[in-house]
Amino acid sequence: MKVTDSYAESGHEIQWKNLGSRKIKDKIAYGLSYVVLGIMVVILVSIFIYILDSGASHITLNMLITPGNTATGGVLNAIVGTWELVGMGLLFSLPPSILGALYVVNGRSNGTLSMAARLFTDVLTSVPSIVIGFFAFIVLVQRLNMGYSLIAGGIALSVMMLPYLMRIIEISFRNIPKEQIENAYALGADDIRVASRIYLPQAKVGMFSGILLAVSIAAGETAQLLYSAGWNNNYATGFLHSGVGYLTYVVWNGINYPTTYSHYLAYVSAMLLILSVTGLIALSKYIGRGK
Amino acid sequence: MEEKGKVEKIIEIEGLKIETKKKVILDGVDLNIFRNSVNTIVGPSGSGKSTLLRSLNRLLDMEPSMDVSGDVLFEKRNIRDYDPVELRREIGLVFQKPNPFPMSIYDNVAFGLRIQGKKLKKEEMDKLVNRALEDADLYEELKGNLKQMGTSLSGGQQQRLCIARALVLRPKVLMFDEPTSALDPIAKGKIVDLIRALKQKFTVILVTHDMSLTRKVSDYTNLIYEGKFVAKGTGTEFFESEIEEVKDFLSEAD
Amino acid sequence: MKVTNKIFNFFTFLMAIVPAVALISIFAFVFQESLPLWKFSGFSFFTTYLWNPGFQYQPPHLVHGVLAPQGAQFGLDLFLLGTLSTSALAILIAFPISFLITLNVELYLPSKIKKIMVSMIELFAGIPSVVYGLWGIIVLEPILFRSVEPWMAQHLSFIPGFKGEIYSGAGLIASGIILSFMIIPIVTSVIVNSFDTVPKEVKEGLFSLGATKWEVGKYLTTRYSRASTVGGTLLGLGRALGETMAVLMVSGAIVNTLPTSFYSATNTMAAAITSLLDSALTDSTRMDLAALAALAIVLMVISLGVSIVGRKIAGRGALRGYESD
Repeated sequence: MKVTDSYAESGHEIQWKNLGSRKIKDKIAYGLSYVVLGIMVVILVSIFIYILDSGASHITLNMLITPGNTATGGVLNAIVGTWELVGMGLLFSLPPSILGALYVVNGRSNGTLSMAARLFTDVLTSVPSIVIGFFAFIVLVQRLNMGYSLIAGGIALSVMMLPYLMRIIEISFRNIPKEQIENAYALGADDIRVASRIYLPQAKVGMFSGILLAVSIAAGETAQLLYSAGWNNNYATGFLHSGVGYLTYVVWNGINYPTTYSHYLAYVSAMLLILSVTGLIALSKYIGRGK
Repeated sequence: MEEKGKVEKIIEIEGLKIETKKKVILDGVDLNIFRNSVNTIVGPSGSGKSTLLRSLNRLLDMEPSMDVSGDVLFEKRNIRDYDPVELRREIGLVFQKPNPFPMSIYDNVAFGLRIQGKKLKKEEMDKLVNRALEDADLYEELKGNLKQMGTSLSGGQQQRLCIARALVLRPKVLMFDEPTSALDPIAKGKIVDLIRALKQKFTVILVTHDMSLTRKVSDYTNLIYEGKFVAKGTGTEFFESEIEEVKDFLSEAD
Repeated sequence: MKVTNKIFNFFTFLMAIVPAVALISIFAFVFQESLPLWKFSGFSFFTTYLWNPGFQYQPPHLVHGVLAPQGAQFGLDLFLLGTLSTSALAILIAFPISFLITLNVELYLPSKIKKIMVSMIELFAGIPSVVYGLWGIIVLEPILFRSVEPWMAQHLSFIPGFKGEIYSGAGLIASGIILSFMIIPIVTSVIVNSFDTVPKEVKEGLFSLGATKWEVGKYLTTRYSRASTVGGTLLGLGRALGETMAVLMVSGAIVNTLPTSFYSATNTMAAAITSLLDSALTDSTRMDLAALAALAIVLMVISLGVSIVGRKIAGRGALRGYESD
């Protein structure tokens, strides 16, 4: 085997690009990337500081312990309503998410159907929230005559939470070592037992972390609630035919209402929202760390 | 094989120490690499062979956890005084696992020239690519198929494609990190022939724990053990060495 | 297999298709609600920008066999234009930022800080939409109105669209900026994830051929992982198209007036559905509601289409989940 001459020997020198100009491009990208990252961090921090500061400087105890109508009174009805709605959303979305995820990861399920189920789950996450809200209004509130209510709002939230939870739970199921599941089947366990003895206990940390994330997103929702949960100047009196208040509504309505006090209520609600949402995200990351 | 005394040193490693916070990988090693020879570094896995190679073309700069001290002279000049880009042009590296880029064979080979070289006319680029493929003993097998994806080749062909990709820049030194460990015996045989041929024009540094490969191609063999060179010698000297670690290593490796 | 087990499995199957049922029913019911509008407006829904609910105090009349208020006229062009332009601006801002952030955390930033930075960027996705809206109204709009837009109008007026009256900070620019904050985490996370999955040998291979970090980053994002880069950007776009509250609050939510410059107020399909639904309920013929349903259908088709294509290109699992509102 013969190897050809190096370029120098054959008088065929390669012309190299100017190293300086390649280095300058690298330096520009380096500098620009730091500038952009820095700006984004500054913006993020300034949004947080602004919201927390304007909330903290206008908060009063009275706001936290009385209900109100976004212009007068407090926001306790909205705080309570937010968690009622999120709880209702979780109630409607968690059981189907767990069971649906079990179907999708079960090796004995029909492969095509599993694939289709996952595809629809993915697509559902991309439906604009106001479309879900509109649907909830015409079907739940009007046709099924639920009125603006906890149930209608809860279902509207669950439509958004369901695909999200199902996917996160599916991922935590898939993180379980295959051998454990195969062992259980080999020992004669049926699907119910494998679900209750292996899948659920093994995946509980990942599931819990995912639930917290889903809750954090749901707590910040507005568009699908406006025409399903409606609003209530006081506490909801039942599951049906009684509107529910929620914090995001106070932010939206309060800031558009032309009184100083309503703006204060909006600031305080925004602060409460951002605190609970980031708190939940942090908790979820802490629980799910290393996963 | 040439006489040891007459051969020119192309790389001189003096007191090279590489450590992380947790452990010392290379503990102040000295080593000479000789021009137009196959310089082999053998040793058990985890002895720091690959790290040594990656320090020679300053790929270790990418890993801030690695603390490098000591001197490496490439053609009498400290590698820290080179720009890494220039240094890597002079010292090519072929990896254990073939890593063609997901593009055509032609583009794979031309890649280095496109990022490093001034724009070439098509005929000229063709010529350089074909020559690199010839040098890697791949041209005959693949000519006319250069539009095929590099990733679609067999393991042995992929490895030779990676060699061609390094050769197109005409490095002075070509380093191989366990080039045959992922290959079948036939593919391995081709690489053996190729390494032998390449030393006519290039300096080869070969890292391996494969003693049969070492016997076939090595001019200078160096055994590294727990971060230190414990034996150095020309091909035959090394295998007849009475040093304890060499005997141990040979008996385990064979 | 025992009967209980079979029942259990069937039940899990039923639950697995809940998302499919939900998706199909959303589409079916909203589409059904929109039917009168298609009869009433036909293709003109796509060819006019005017949106008039008609005269509620006059008796409705029959048009093409359906009852509608007199004077009613529905066209989506203004909202469609607003949706497309705000989302396009958002992508224009978000993509380069996401690209540079990816380069930074992957190649330039010490790996210890990388995780913290990525988590910080992800926090942008955690801020509720209305909080962005609030911040937009109180902080961003005044800055745009007093400083940025006057400067642009003065210095960039030679570019078409940059010349015009500035009435407030609300509009295309404010919406585009806020939307970009919301989608930067999505786009960044997809590109960073795909960067992370590039085999180490490939990265080392590129460097050992003498590529600079910039050359490696450019090659990996625009060539090697181009699918993820494009797919992630489309997913971000899909999210921007459907975003409602923040845009509703900072767009100016204008009706029946086409924008004349980049400083004009605008409106989007999602925001219009939200803001017009209240008054639509007073229309006894439900035609107004049907028009909003038609808007919802068009919005859904566009944003689902973009998201599906994006997801298909990027591959499943590219996204960990930031796409809900």
